[in-house]
Amino acid sequence: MIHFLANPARFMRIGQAVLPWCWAVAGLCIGTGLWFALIVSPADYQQGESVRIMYIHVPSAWMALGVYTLIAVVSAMALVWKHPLAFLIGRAAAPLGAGFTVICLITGSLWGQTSWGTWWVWDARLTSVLVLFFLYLGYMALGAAFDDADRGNRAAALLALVGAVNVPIIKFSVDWWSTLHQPASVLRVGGPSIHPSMLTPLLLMAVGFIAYFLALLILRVRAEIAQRKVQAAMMVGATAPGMQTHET
Amino acid sequence: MSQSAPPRRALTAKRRRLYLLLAAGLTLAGAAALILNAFQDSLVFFLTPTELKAKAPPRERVIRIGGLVEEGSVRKAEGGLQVRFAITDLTNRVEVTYRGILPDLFREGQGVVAQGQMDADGVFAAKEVLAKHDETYMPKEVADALKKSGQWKPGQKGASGAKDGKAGAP
Amino acid sequence: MDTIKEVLILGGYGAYVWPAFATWAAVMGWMAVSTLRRLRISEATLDKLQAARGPRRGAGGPDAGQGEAGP
Repeated sequence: MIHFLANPARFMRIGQAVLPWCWAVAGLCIGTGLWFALIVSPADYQQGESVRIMYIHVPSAWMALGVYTLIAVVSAMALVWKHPLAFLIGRAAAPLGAGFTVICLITGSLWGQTSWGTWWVWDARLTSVLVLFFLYLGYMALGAAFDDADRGNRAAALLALVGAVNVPIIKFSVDWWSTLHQPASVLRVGGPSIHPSMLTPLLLMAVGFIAYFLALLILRVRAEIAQRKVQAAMMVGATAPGMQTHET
Repeated sequence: MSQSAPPRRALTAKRRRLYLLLAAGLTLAGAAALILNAFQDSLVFFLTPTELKAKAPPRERVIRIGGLVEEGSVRKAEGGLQVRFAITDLTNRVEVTYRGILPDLFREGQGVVAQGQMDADGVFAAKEVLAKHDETYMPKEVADALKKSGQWKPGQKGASGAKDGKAGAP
Repeated sequence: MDTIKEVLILGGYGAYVWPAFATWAAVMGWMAVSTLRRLRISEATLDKLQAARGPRRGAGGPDAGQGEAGP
């Protein structure tokens, strides 16, 4: 499966077929998710209406972690099997993951101010998520820092792999150390500790976020492939490769 | 698939890279675990009253203590600005004084983290009080119904505080 | 009117909830805009390059990176 998808042309063919479905699922889930999050779902017994921030904060945090994990996995594949597409997927995913991390940090700060009484604390959870944001930035900067694109890709992939130790740290920081941030509510031993009326919008938003990410990822990979072709054509100069364009 | 590259050599190169990466990953994970273990003390955001008793940090040190606001312990004076309450982890308790505005979620029986210093009488003089909420979310009606039917476990509300005590004190 | 006010205030938390949702919408929007812009620019450049090459067909080899597709 992995090797099957490693062919850029094949990946793009499948991507183009999946793309409309991604947009449909994203629109549908985020639309109904917002409706549930802002109108249908009840206020929390402790936090009142401020709990609505959860419906964007938590899925963003999941995406921030999930996208980084994806980048680490494709980086490993890129370094071991030299799949050309793997680097491109990593490069395409990074700005999106960084965006989700920004959402997570800003909404979390707003939520923290209302519920905890502070915009920011240096506890293990908040600090490790900030480190995640810097890892995204470092990955993108390193990928662009070399004249030789391949070297940049390899350096960035190595950074992504080293930074992967941060992923379990983020996830389990709230269990390993005392933090101001509360422990996990959904992915926890003993099942979610969120009432179904509040879990519904949360999961709807999460599915919508994933679909939205996938749609943009497919488009970004397409852009990366086009860019690669441009670079290759410029470098080779005379021997223009037989390029089939992907119609817009 | 695409090219008939020399299969044996290509395979070993890939294998080698894979093993190299796995070895590096294991080393890195091990190093990270050791480092995190070494810095355990600074990674902990607050001490529970029990840990405070066990560690007895020097009095001039600014520390954070966390736990639950003990039920019935909150006394307010001077129009509510001067507060006195106790932080408990259901085993030990610490008296806290604080002057200032409390966060919205500051409630008896709820999680709290206070930053400050111990004074001479063993009372914790807090400079900052933050509310800590647990991982339970539900509508008010459900919480009320649970309490009414007696299915509300006292431990449930204190779950985060009690768990932190456990996690922090190995 | 009153309901609009109520929604804006949102039990006293409107000042936090609405900026949070606005941030979310802005960043999600930025993701889409930057993606589409990138796609348009890179594919336009590629088209231009191909047009410049004109009728000349390349060796028909696989394009950049496509050759090494897995074992």
